[in-house]
Amino acid sequence: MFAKVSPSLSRPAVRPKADSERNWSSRGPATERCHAELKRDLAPAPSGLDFSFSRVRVHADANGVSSTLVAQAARAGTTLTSRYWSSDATPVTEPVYQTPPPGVNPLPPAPAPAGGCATPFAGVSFALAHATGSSRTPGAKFTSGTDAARHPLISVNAVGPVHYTPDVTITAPSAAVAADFEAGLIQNVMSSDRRAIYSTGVSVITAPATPPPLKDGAPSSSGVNDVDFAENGGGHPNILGSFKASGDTVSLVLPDAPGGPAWLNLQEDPAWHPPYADATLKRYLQHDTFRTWVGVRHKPTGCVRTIHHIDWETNWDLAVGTPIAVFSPGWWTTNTSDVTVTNGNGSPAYIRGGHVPADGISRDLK
Amino acid sequence: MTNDDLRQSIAYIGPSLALSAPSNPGVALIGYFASDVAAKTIDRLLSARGVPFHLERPTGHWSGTRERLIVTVPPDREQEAQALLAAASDAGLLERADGANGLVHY
Repeated sequence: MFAKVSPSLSRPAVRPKADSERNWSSRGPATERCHAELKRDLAPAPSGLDFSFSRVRVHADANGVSSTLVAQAARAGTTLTSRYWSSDATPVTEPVYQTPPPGVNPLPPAPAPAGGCATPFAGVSFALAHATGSSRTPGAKFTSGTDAARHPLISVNAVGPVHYTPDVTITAPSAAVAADFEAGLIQNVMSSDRRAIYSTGVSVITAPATPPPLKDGAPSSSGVNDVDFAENGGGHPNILGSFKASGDTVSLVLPDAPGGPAWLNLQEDPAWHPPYADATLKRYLQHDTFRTWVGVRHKPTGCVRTIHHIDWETNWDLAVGTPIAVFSPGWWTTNTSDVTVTNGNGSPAYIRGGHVPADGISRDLK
Repeated sequence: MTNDDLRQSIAYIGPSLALSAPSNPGVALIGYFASDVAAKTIDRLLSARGVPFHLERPTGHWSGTRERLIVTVPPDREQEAQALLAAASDAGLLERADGANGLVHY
């Protein structure tokens, strides 16, 4: 995708340094600054210079926005590449994506206690009920709306989670032994494909900053993150519960309802300013795959056993018709959230710890 | 919309025009961060002006960014509602959110 430099931007050509990096410390929207600098450096000679942004990444943490733009310029058979980076510490009006904290991803399995993890589970059994997962149709709904700057967008979100409501009942030699155990839901994102495709062929791709597969659940900054389970029991109800006595049942409910936005016009997306050409949204698709386990944990040792799992996925595909401002349910070409493994035995290993998608999301323009 | 207008609307005591489901057709205003205070402010502002609305605070996912409110109004009241909320934001009564911040969930 090439955008022609406007003649009004013509200045004495400044040859971009290959793979150069530039830093700005002044205040202001980072992406706009990147674009301005790119225009200045790439705005060419009278003969004109075509250039494209081959890759744009915008992210931010509590300190502000960082943008990385990789631009390719072609002139007289020469291809130049420049990389621009900027940051500012002002409150952002652009999309904010947290930078994942440094860390190991994933964590290694928990070290087994002396005697191994078989010992804590000796004489204790768990029975499952209502564990079969089931699909949801329709899977998603779209909301037609505007952000505060009146940029028209759609927001595509799960109507609700797929159905997964297992009950776990413990049988233990004593109440004291039972009270050492808890049961909960563990979830991994196995893959993710979220694309907003525009009329010029450009796509905005949203993905976890840490590529899947990865743990899913509450982010590390939330206070309810758990190294094994989706949450530590302090967030959504019925994700993690403790047993108090033999015969107790912990009821679990998968709450997950994923989703994301797309702007109707690429130029309206605050992350992607001109020189991108006017481009209208033609298609939005979201195909994410997840695996969710029922796990039981022996609290004193941290040993976990997974006793059931389901695989599920979002199959949402929206072909945008015209007029674009008037959405029609008929634009859905696929709209299901499907459980593809309804009654798994829990045997696949799960990713423990590390980043979750909510620690950092990236949006790339390709 | 003057500051006095805003103050009067915020002080509104009367029936809420909150709907139990979004109007159809409806336009969603997705530009403001969610909080209990924000929800109450929007309820008062729109109700005081006679704008029926549906307010949703999405749940059921994990997010590393702050959640947004989804305020759905009839299309013929969208401009008015948007102006009202923008004025409230300018006055520091609502926190504005642009871009995808708070809209991407796994």
